[in-house]
Order: sequence, then C-alpha cells, then structure tokens
Amino acid sequence: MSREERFLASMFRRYYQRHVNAIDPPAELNQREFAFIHFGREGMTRHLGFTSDSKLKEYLKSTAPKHAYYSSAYYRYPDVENMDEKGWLGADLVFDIDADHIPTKCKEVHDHWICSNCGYVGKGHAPTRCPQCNNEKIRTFTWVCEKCIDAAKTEVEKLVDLLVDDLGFEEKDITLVFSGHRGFHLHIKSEKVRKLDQNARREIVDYIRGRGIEFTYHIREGEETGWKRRIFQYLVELFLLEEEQLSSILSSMGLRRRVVDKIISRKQNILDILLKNPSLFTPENIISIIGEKYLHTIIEFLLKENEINIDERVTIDTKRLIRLPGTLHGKTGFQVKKVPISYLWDFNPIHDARVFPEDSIAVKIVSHVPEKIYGYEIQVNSSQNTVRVPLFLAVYLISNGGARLA
Amino acid sequence: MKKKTYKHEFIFTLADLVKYPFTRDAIVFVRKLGFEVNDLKTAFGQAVSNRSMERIIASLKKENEYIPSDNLELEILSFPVSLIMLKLIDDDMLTRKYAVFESKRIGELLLEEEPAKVLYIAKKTFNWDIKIVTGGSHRYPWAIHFTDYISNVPEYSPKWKLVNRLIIKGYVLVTREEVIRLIEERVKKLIVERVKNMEIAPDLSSILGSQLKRILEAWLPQKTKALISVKGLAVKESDYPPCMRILMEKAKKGENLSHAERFALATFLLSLGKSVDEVVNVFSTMPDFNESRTRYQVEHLAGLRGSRKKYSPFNCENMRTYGLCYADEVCKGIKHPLQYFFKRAKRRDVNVA
Repeated sequence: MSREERFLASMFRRYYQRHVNAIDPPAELNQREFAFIHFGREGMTRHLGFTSDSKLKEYLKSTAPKHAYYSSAYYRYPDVENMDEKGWLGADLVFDIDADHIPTKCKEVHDHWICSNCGYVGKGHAPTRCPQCNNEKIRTFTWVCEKCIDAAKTEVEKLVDLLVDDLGFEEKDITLVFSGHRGFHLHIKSEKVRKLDQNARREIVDYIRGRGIEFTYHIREGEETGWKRRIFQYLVELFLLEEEQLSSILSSMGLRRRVVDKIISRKQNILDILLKNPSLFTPENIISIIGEKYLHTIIEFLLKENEINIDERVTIDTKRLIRLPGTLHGKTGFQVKKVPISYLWDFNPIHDARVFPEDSIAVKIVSHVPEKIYGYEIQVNSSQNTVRVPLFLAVYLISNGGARLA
Repeated sequence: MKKKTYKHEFIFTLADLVKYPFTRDAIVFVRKLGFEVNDLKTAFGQAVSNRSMERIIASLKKENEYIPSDNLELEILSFPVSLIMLKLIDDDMLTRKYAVFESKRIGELLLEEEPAKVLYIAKKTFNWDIKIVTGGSHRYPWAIHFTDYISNVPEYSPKWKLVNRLIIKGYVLVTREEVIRLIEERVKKLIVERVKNMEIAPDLSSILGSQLKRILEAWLPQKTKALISVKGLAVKESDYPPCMRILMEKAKKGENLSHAERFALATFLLSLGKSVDEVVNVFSTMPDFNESRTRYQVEHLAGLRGSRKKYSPFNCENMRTYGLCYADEVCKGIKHPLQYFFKRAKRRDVNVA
C-alpha cells in the first residue's frame, strides 16, 4: 500500500470505528448480497451475506472498506457464488442519476482526462477513444461542483414527479440517496415492482425517457395525463416564445428557413388550438397546421430537450450492486446518505455528507484540480505545488487522484 | 338499491372450471377431489390420461380439434395431468407449443364472457390490480396497474408500449379485448412455469407410458423436421450480436417470438445473405408455425413480393425501442447489429452504481 492509501485507510477506519451506527442497512438484509472493495487489495470481494444488522456493522468496523455495496436483488442464497444458483426472489426498482450523464457546461472547467497510452490530456467529458492515438484506455478525473449537483437535483425532481404523477408511486415508497460523489440513487421498494423482469423494467425506462412515443397514439378522449399532457405543455412553452427566439430554436432543429417561416406565420393559429380550445388538440389538427414530418421533428427535439437523464442500465439490471447508505465513497470520502425528498434542494454535501473534520493539512497537487471545490479555493503554492486544505478536502483530493500527502 | 360490485362474490360453475382449468378455483376443486397419483392406474384415471394426451396432441395440429369430454370432472382433471405429462417428456419446445394452444383457446372463450368473469379470473387467479372504471372513457373501460400490464404485454410494439398508453396514477386504461390478450399471455407463462417447477414421482412415466409414447410419436417427427432445418443455419452463430443470439436461442427453444422479434431476426438473417428457405426454417419451431404463411411473410421482407421493397433490418435504436437490445461491451459505439461483426469481443467488468 502506498503512503496515501494507508492514510485513506486509516481515515476510513476512524470513521467506521466511531460512526458505524450511521450505516443504514437495507430492508430484508439477510436476502441481500454484499460486496466490498478494500484498501490495498485487488478486485472486489463479492457474494457475502449477513444474517443481521449487527454482523454487517461488525464487518464494516473491522475491515473499513473503500467502497461498500449491496444488491438491489433479493436472493434465497445471497452468499452463493454462482449467480444462477443464488435463487433470485425479486429486486427493488433502482434509478441512478449522475452528473456524469448530464451534459453540464461546467465540466469543461473542472473535469479532465488523460490517455493512458500517449498521455494526451483533454478537458470536459472524456471521449471513447483518444483523438491522438485512438487508444480506448482513458483515465478520467471528474470533480464535483455545485452546478453539477444542482443539475442532478433537477433530474431527481423531474423523475420523482413522473414516478408520482404518472406511475402512481407515493413519495413514501421512494428512498432518495446521495451517491457520495455527484449523483443520487432512488430506490423503490414496493411489493408491486419486486418481481418485474428485465423486459418490464426496460418498459419503465422507455416510459421515463419518452422513448418510442408515437404521437398518433396520443389521441385520447377525455383526460390529459402522462406523456400527452407533457407534450402539450412543451408545445405551449415553445410557441409562447417570441418570434425571434422561436425561429432560432426551430432552425436549430434542422428545419429549413422556408419551413420555419411557414410555422411562424401560423404561430397564433397553433396557440389558439393549444390554449383556447384544448379539445382541438388532436394529432390531426396539429398535423394539418404544421405538417406531420415537421411536427415529428419538433416533438423529437422537445422530448430530447426535456429527457430525464437516468443511467438506464442500472434500472434494467435486476442484479445490480448499489452503494450502501451510511458508508463512504472511496473516491471522495463523502458519505452515501439518505436524503428526504422534501430536503432535496437544501441538501448540500459539504454540510450533510461530510464526515471528516476541518483541521487543515498540507497536500501536494499532482494533477489538474479545480480552482475551487465546494467554495474552498485551492491556492497552490507554486514552488512546492502544495496547498493547505481542510482534512475532508484532503481526503477527497487524494482519493480522487488529484493530490498526494505533502 | 345495493350498488353492484364485482368483488369476489362471483361463483364459478363446474362448466367454468372446464373452460378455465388454470384458475385458482380449478386447483382448489382438483385438490378437493382427492385424486392421487395411484388413481391414474384405475379405469377412470386412464380415461383422464387419454384425454390429457388428446389435449397435447391437439396442440400439434393445425386445425383446432378440441372436443371436450362430457364428463366434467374428467375434463377438469385432464389439464393438470397434461402438465404432468409435459414434465415427464421434459421438452421445452413441446411445453411452449401446448401453452400457446391452451392460451389461445382460453382467449377465444373469454371473448364470449361477461366482464365480471374476466375480472374475477384476473384478480383471483393472477392477483392483478385491475378494475372496471365506471363513468370513465367508453373506449377504455378497464384500468390495470402498470406493473401487471408491462409484465404481460404480448409484444412491445408501439400499440402496447407503455409510453403510448393513457396512464393515470399508475393505472393503464385498456379495452376488454386487451385485458383478454394480457390474460392469454399470463396463461402461457403460467403453464410453462407450472411445468418447470413441478416435482413428480419418477414411477409416473410407467403408469402413463402408453400415452407418453403416443404423444412422442406425434411430436418427434415434427420436432426433428424443425430442428434439422435450424441446425443447417447455425454456422458462426456465435459471432452474432447478443440481441440476435438471444433471438436465435429463443427460436431454437421454440419460444413464441413477438411480431417485432420475428421482423428483427428475419431481416437480419436476410441481410446476412441467408436464403428465404433458411429463414423460414428458423421459424419452423414456432408454436404457431404455418409454413406457407411464414414463407409469404419472409418473401415480403426480402422484397420478393408486394411493393418489391426490401426491408432493412432494425438499427440499435429500433431494437432498444422494442426492448430487444441486450448490448454487451462490444456493442459500445455501434449503431446497427450488422456492425457487430467488425468489433472484437472484450472482457466485461462488474457493474456497480
């Protein structure tokens, strides 16, 4: 183990020794698989089962792992290694919202990546291949910022609205968890979702992303709910824009000048249908004004714009390992933490998920790190490349590969 | 006046149990009869077994030759005994064929029933969260919880996709005909599951020996014909993208492929340069296989009929839309299943969130 690894291990050990009661074990613990990544050890320790909360806590206290996960699935034999012999009994419905999957502009400022082959360095979201040597092995350095967390919160809010309004879940069915880095997990433990297979879960993902919508199927007499209501709302918002703005958005969809002008000349006509007489809001009527092809382009664009950014693989997978609330994230030293939905916009990792004290310590910066993290300026002493930062920030900088012990 | 409710006060008649032998009521009825394995040796037991055999053999025929026995108890018992026979034969393809046959039969009968009976079966046998909406839209008088809906849709075509349905606070609005399609799908799965999870005494195969022999005599020639034709095509199938490997697997097991699945697989194989004959053969294992109809459809896709338009295979986006994408690491960055061949396989890491 490197000196840094030993330092982090001791910090994590201190946390688990003192705060093991912060661990929030999942319901039906004895049917869950647990998995850990330990300091100084290669790979993942998987297929562990615990018979009680206290045994799990005892394990965490004595091993102080770098990362801790449990299965969204329930198994008859959670500790059997062969996945087919575990006896799958069901799984919670899980959603993963991560700033990694949300295109925020601030990533150009605080994220970078290095090609492991040629050493090429780039800013922002990492490409799948190095533009210089075409290698696929790329190391990413992603850092948290308030804008990224806010972007993730917006997605959480949209998702919760849809889960409640459309799919009929109650807020009490939904557990919201801060991932410890820059995202959130949502767990739904309802009996109704437990037995859903991958295909059914994929349908839920498609529903949430609005994938596969065919507008002509949304001719429904009476109620306006779900996607019909949302499409209606998007169209209203679009056509209420000033002509100039509307024109530039329509052009950005790839519509030709002539088409844009035609649509704009009928703007009032469209708004009349949308606002004054919603019962006229049928595909036929809108199509007769805008034209089917162009309406399709506009709706596709609006759906894309308003898409909820979830990592769909997590939701579809019925055997996912997910971070255990109360444990620490090994790349940040922040706590994986349950957040009441009503507290979402007040939640601030620096206050609510920080576990290490403010005592300052010197670290040596070894790669590009943001100038500011959670409001703390990282003012590097240029000759030594060192900086004094609060302990929790030191843990973050070191575990995320941005610094070493000075 | 007392308000009319449909809740659990519906009485199933003996005739209903004959029509719907998969229901919870039928299971309770059979249990009460106290019919045991040893009873299969009696004259009555052999009559039941013969009827079970007829049921299974009827599922192999193109024309519907289903003539229920006049002895209602015998008829009801013949359903669970047919499942025992399928377990003894232990052939997934045959089980599925029978499941499709029974579910279609049941669907046709349900279309003739009053709504209360359909609701009763859905609630009591399947535990569905479903209701008939009074005062709601006339087009969609039924509401079913979306989790029961998505678990039993017959296919993920645009019409059935959740995203195109009217959904109110978790309930999908559907028509009576759609509810019956959902029930058909559930019955199919239920039969396959019951056979799979059944535990039976090993000496049963000797008691049912003559019936099993006659079933196999009818089934094996059909199966061999279907399998030989699939094998001829299996060259290099291991190089197919996962989505197509899964569809080929399903076809080989004789699982009933949805319309979208058939379209995806057929157009993919045609693009690989397979002949119409070869593609038709892949579908010969389908429980509802009809050679001339399949040939017509495949020729249509190949552009040999109708508009002479050759249909292109689904791209990855289409596959995802229909819930048919099972991307692996190699799939990263490709947009079309046909591109898969150009990428090399790689090791897969453990996924966490």
